[in-house]
Amino acid sequence: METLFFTLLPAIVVVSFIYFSNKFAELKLNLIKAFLLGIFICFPAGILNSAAIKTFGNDNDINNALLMGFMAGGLVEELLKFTVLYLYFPSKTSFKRYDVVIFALFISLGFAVYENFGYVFAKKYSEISFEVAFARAFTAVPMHIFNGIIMGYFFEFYLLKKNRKFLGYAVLLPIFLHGCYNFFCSENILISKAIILMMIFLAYRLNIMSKVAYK
Amino acid sequence: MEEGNKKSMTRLIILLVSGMLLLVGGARAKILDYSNCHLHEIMLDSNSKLRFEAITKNNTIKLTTASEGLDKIIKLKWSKENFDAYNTFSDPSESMFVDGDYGWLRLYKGLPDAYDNYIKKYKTIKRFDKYSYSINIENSTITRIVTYSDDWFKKVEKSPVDSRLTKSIVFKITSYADGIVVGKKKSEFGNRAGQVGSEFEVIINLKDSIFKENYYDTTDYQTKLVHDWPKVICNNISSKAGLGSKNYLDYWWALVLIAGIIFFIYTQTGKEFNIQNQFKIEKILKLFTYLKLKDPEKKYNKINKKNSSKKEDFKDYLG
Repeated sequence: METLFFTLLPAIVVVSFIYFSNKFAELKLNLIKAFLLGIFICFPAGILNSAAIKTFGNDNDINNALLMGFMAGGLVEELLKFTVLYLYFPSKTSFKRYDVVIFALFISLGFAVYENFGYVFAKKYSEISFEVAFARAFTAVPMHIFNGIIMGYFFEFYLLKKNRKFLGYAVLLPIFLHGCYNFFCSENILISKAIILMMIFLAYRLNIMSKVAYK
Repeated sequence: MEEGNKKSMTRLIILLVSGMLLLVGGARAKILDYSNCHLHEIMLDSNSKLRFEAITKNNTIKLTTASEGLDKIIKLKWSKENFDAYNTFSDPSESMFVDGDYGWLRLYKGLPDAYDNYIKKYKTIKRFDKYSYSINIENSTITRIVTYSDDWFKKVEKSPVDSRLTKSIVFKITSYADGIVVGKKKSEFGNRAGQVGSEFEVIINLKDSIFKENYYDTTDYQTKLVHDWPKVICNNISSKAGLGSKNYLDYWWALVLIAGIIFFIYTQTGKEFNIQNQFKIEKILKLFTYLKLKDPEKKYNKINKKNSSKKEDFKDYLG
């Protein structure tokens, strides 16, 4: 029961925040869609990750860490999240502040929650499932969430300014950050945590910029 | 909510999140490394025991050819003396090296009595093999590495230190529950007639950091314990990808690089919205003052020569 609670904890926190906030009342249906799309992209991500590891994996630890970090983790997962965001939003003629960011956040959240289940209840970690759920609730899942927020803000800036630079940032920065996080997870978890702190700080500063952009 | 309260709440949340991030995550250690391991108890067969006594009391040695079998095994608690004796007679060589009139001789157990004559003066080389174990939860493997002492190879084998210095065995983890990890390495080949395989087993007590190894012979009829290896106890444990094993300074350059890239993208984005760098110099200098660094005012003037109007404000921080 505790394991299940910690597996769902990040989702419970974010969904409670959105539910009790008046700001996002109109968005609720869209957010359910985003959450489900996030879960859906886990399947192609799983297939592509396995294929990448099978094709490029070898006995070299560094090669495998780079592969797991930047290719399987960063490139595949973040690119799929971005694809959903990109395909959904150009059709919208108008959007309000936070629409894009919250949508991107929910894609990431859906993805992170489903991925979390995959790790926590995997046979490999059956003996330490609680520890896995607890650790991931404060590391991997927030990393996905803040990556979604950063992607959302840059995509929002792109829609506002029509500057392709922001489109590049929206794709490349989450890939880079996710890759670095995954890479250092196997080497030094403290660096991974520092990366999450940087992501939180960046998301906070982007929020301030977004305020200015809408003025 | 008032603006001031809102800011305080935001800071509190940031502090809580940062604290949680720093504290959590050690539970999912991927690799447990055990180093500085030594034998917990010494296993000597009765022959070895005799030799051991001969060495320590009379400083002479007597080789015997008789093997009294495993049922005569004597287990002694770890002590420097016992460990020396163990190192002289233990596996894998089941041999000892003596420095006699004929130079270094390798003498095996079961050597004919005639060889006794050669051993008038001797000098044994103590091997002091180092044990280390690495438990990789991710790959479900336990790697046991034994490093033989340099002297043993240099003087006795008369060969430079090379790959033979270490010997590693990889066990596959078969069970992991209640702090006890069991690993096995199976072999399809047997040494004796009727033997269809062998099994090397390691049992690890994570709580006490004790490693116990058993070697089994498998025949068509049964699996029999044939070698009861002494327990190995480890003092140093480190966990990769775990809490406290590493610090931020290990990869400071990577952190600086990542922070630099993020800062670059951040400033480039700010430029687009005509946002001046909100990272005020004053704030950084305020931090310098807080940390009691020397001459913050001088530093401030150097950095902010043009903005003389803010100088007056700055003095407030010092007050």
